Amino acid sequence: MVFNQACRFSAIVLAATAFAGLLFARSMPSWLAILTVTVLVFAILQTFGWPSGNTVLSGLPNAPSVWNSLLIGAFVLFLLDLTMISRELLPAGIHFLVVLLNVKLMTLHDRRDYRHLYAISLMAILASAALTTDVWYVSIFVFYLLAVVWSLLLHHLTSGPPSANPARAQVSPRATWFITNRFFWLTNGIAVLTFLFTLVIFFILPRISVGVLQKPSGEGLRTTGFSERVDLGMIGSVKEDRQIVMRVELPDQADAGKERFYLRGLAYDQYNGRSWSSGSRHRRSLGGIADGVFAVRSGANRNGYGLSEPLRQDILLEALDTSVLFAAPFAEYVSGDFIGIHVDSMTGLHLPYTSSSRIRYSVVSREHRLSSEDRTAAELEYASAIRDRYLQLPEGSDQVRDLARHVTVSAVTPHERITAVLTHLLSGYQYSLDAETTTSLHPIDDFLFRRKTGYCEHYATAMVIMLRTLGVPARLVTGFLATEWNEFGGYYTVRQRDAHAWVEVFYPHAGWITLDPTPTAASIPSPSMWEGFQRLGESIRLHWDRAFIRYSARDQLAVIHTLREGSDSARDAVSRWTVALGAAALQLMRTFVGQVQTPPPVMTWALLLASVIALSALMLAVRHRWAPGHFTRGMPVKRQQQIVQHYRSMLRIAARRGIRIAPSTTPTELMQHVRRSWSEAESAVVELTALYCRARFGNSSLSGEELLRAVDHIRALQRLARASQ
Amino acid sequence: MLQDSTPVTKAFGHNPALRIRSRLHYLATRRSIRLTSEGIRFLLFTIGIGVAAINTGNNLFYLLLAMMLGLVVISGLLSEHCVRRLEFHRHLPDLIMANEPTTVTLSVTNHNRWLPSFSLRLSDIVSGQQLDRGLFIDHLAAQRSVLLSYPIVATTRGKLSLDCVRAETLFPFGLFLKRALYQVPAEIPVSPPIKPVSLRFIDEMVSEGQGLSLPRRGHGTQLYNLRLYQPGDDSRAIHWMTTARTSTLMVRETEAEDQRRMTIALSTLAPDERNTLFEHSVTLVASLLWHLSQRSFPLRLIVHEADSGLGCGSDHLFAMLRLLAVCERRAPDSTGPTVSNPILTLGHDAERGYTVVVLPWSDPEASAAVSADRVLQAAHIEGLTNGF
Amino acid sequence: MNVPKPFHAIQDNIARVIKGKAQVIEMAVVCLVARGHLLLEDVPGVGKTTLAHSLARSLDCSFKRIQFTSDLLPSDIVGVSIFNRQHQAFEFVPGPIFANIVLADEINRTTPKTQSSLLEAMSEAQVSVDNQTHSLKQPFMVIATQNPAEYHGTFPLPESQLDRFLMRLRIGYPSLEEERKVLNRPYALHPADSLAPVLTAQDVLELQRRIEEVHMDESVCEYLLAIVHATRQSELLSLGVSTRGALALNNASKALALVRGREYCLPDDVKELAPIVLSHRVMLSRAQGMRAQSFEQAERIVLDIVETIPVPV
Repeated sequence: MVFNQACRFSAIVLAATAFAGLLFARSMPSWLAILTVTVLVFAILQTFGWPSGNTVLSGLPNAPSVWNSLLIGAFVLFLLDLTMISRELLPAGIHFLVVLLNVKLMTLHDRRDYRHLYAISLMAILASAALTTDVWYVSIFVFYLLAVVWSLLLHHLTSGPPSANPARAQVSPRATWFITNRFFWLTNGIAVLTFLFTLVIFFILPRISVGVLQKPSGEGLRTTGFSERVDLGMIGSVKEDRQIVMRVELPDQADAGKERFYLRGLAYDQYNGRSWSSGSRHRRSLGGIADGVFAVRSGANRNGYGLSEPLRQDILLEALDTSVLFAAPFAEYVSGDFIGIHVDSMTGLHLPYTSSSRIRYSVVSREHRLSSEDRTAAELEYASAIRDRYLQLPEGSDQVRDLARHVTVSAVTPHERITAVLTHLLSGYQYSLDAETTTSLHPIDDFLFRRKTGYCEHYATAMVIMLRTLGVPARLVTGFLATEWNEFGGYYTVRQRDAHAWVEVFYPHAGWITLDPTPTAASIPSPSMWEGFQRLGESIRLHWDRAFIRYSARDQLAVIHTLREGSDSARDAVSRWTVALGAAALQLMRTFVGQVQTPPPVMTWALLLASVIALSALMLAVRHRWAPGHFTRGMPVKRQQQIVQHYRSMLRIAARRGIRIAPSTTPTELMQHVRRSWSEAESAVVELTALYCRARFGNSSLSGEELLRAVDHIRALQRLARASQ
Repeated sequence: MLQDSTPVTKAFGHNPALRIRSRLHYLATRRSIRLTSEGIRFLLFTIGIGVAAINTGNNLFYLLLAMMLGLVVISGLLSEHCVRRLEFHRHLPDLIMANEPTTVTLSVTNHNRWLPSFSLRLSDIVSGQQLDRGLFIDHLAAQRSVLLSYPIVATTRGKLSLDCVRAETLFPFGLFLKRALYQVPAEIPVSPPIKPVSLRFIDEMVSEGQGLSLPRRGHGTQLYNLRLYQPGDDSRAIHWMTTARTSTLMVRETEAEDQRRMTIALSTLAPDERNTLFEHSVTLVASLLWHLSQRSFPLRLIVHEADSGLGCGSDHLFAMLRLLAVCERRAPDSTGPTVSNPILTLGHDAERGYTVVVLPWSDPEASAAVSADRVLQAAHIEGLTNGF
Repeated sequence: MNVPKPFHAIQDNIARVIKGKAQVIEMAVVCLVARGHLLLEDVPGVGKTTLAHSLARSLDCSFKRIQFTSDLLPSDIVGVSIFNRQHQAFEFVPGPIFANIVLADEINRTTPKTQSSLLEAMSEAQVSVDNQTHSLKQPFMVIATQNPAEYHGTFPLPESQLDRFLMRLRIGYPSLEEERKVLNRPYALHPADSLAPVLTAQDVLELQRRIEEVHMDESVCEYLLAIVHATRQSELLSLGVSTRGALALNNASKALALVRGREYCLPDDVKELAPIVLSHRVMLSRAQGMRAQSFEQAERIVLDIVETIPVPV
């Protein structure tokens, strides 16, 4: 390809990349997108000379006045757009930008047009950066970087010598040069270097948060079941929604992911027959005990409850329309980038305001354990405060009461009664999402007596009512039930459809115990390969988010602190990371191959090492093409190519040793240089040169043993070179 | 890296503060960076993106900012690589004439191991001034050299010194102009121009010179005489054509050639107000020498105390012109012009041939003491150099 | 590399008289083998005559020396027709040019007319006097000398005539050691007289024929042509090397390869011979001002040009 053509082509690719960025950010109407794609395709074809002269396209007026009037028209449209159609600066601006791009693509004539195109594409990629934080942006960015390097380089190289009159277009002799292999790899090398520098600078640039013009990006996800009032059936409406709500990591658990994980949201204590609500609106502010760490319970276990081991979770919560913070029951410490946290009377955690962006926080939770007294006690005494609040029943619960009594007829202790109710609900009813409860007047009666099918809300509500009729304090809890473990990233993916409701029962010696009357749903589909890929993509997206999008000054300071702490922790982190990488790679392989046994970590290292060696071998093989003077035309097509290769390697060894070799150094001159500065190698060099000259310039061919002797000389030279270093 | 710091140490050896300052100055003049208009626009964009990034805290903006900064860094690195490790050689003539364009050649070698140099623009630095010669190298491969030539014209007699060569490049992106200075000193003496001198005058001189010496027999090529063969004559001198015609042996005699030599002396004494006349005299002497040399006269030049010796041929002419190029006018001082002025001791003898003395100015008593076959005084010089 | 015996013999023989000038001797032999003529440009007294004499003595060839003076006539070189009274006809008396090895000493001292008579004879290998053509002996080689330091009364050979010479060399002063050996040698008026011939004229002709069998690889030929082409394109030179010059370099390279005992040419040969064979065939650009010692200038420029041409690997 000629430089001129290549310059044009790279400019079009640049524009196309910027346009792709805007396209994937879903910010333009489809007609505009299709128009731009056609213009791009047409421009590319024009570069390669496809419409040759006589077609209708040459009839397109090239006069600048036409294009200028188009531009003015576009600007008018932009103003219309701004004021009436989109009413926001960014989308209108993007539309205008794309129209500008199209116009520029059609009028690429002189150098100034190219510069305008570069500026427009830069603004376009900036706009797409403002619109999105998804991980595919990386690929767009990489392509953009490549295209920028090529475009700028070619733009410079097709300019002629700077003349006194800069406005005059210079026809440069370089414009007609061809892109050789060497140039191609050189430019790609420059692009790779630029990319590395970009990464380094990105991680070094100080993050100053002077958010003056902060614009919340995107809206919060709509959630159900976490408002003040929960109607029965609300959760059912999101049971098909696959939107991700949060991701939960359990860093301290070695074998996480095997069980289902409950994430508690809010609890409700008042039921009026159709909806649940909270009786008390009291909230108190949590005190912070350290920088960003809040204690939910001040002091240690006051009530003497038996507690399980502390469970630490790292939660990445998407922007929701509720201010609830989710955690495993029951949260003790919450740490994150919060101004403050409120807790209500039923240990539900709230942020002071709804967050407009993703938040990341850590919770340490401890479950309550059932004590032996509670299990075996014949009667349980409850505090009056508890009884007053958690034994509220709606009207018309007599049927339920009867049912409860009937179910627990054989139970002696309260615990057995509770267990009986649980068992009854678990086994006696069908789980189904089809239940249409919003129109029924007595949804629980319908569920328990008539339909006998329902989902989590029904089961939970039923259990609470039944227990309350038995005099056991219970309450409804809404939250999420995490079942989807992403083995690549090591976290639970919690989606909208994982919204769940369950029951908490009060035991005087143990506190609130979590119980779930909903039978486990239909079989979780076995992880298919496609799902595996999806999960891989998800974890990549999470890491992208953590490493790039959320990279903040705090992260920079953390990095600096880590570096200061010394190399040990860094080494640990690196080894952990590599092991995790190896494990991830193995997991991927497993989904392909289906092996069950876990190979020892040695294997992962071996695999890594092997791939590194393969890569470096490839690079070494390709490196030969980089050395200058190797693009001689007319290489002898004789059998003497081997001796020529040996001679060339001898040249390389000598050059590395410091002997200056110019392209115009003849073999004899080289021998003299060697004699002067590297006398130990003289004999080998002399013999090798003699063999080479005879084979290359004479008419004779070398015998087998002469070639072997040449190889010996080369080896001797290499040994000498290594010895002298 | 300061490759050649010895000039600095030589110049400012003992004073450390001065040395540091001069070293910094040295570094500053060796490399410099300018922004082009495109570079300014690029930086404006970068600043804009930076402001946006700081404002919104969007890390993707930071990524784009990092990309722009990365491009700047790469640009700096590559352009530095382009202009370093270049070697320059000048090929200069040994003498040039004033007001006559001459071709000077510059050989540029790229000593980089791998990377070629692109878009190099070279210019001379003459006494601090940058002179653009229109030299542009598109592409110079690693370890290769290229020869570039360009015309120069010297306007005044004296010495033309070319100090440094500056290499600048816009590579790789056309955003920054990187400049490097290389010390490649060179000096060429500039001889006075050769102007046409009135032919009549030259003929006069020649005929006078010849008139003063009678043609006589001797060693040469011009035919002088044909006479009968005498025993003992060189048989190669037999003129066979005449012999065949007259049937008697005839011998050819040639004319002696060595009478045509000339010596020209130039006095360098002149006060400041006679400067133009002095320069004209130098030009006159140079032109005379040129024209006489064309007629293959053996010539000798005496300027103040420099004596070129007798010789002929273009090399000798070159030596004489070089003397004229470097001669300087001396203002007459109180010690008097009579101090060791060899001009005055010129007389006429066969050794010097025909002597001419050019006196742009002289003391009246000194001028009386001058004796030569021909003395050109100021008025005559002005008459001859009217058109110069 | 084993130099074949005849060349060894000649070179050793001459080296008994001329000390320490192995390269010049080798080049003289190469010139002879390549059927070319040699121009020695050097200060007086370094052994130019002795070299020519030794060369002639080593071959069993006739040797004539012409001392050029400013009054030398063409007839003194080629010969003259003398009117013989008894036979009433003109008789041709051959001049000194009718020898195998001719030493033209101080060729720049004589008039251009005389010079051209010699040069024409060199190029045509025959002499016409009075409508009669007499061919010269074979092998025929002219060794001409020029003294560059003298200006008085000289007529330096113009560049266009220099083309006839295959090589232009400088002998230069011997090293201190060699000079000491020369001084310690017993006095001899003509030191070359002590040499005995080691080859005959027939041997020389045979050697000259063997050049045709030397193999020149295509890459070396291209290298040679690249050099020649570069001299034509260089802006320092107003006249580059002509085709005759390229042919001369070709022949000389093959001859050098043969002298060094090889049957093939190396790029080294071309590179080594380029300044010797080409630097007197180029004309410095007229806009160069005036240059003293143009021999050195031309050599330097040719060397620079050769350095910019990459050697085939």
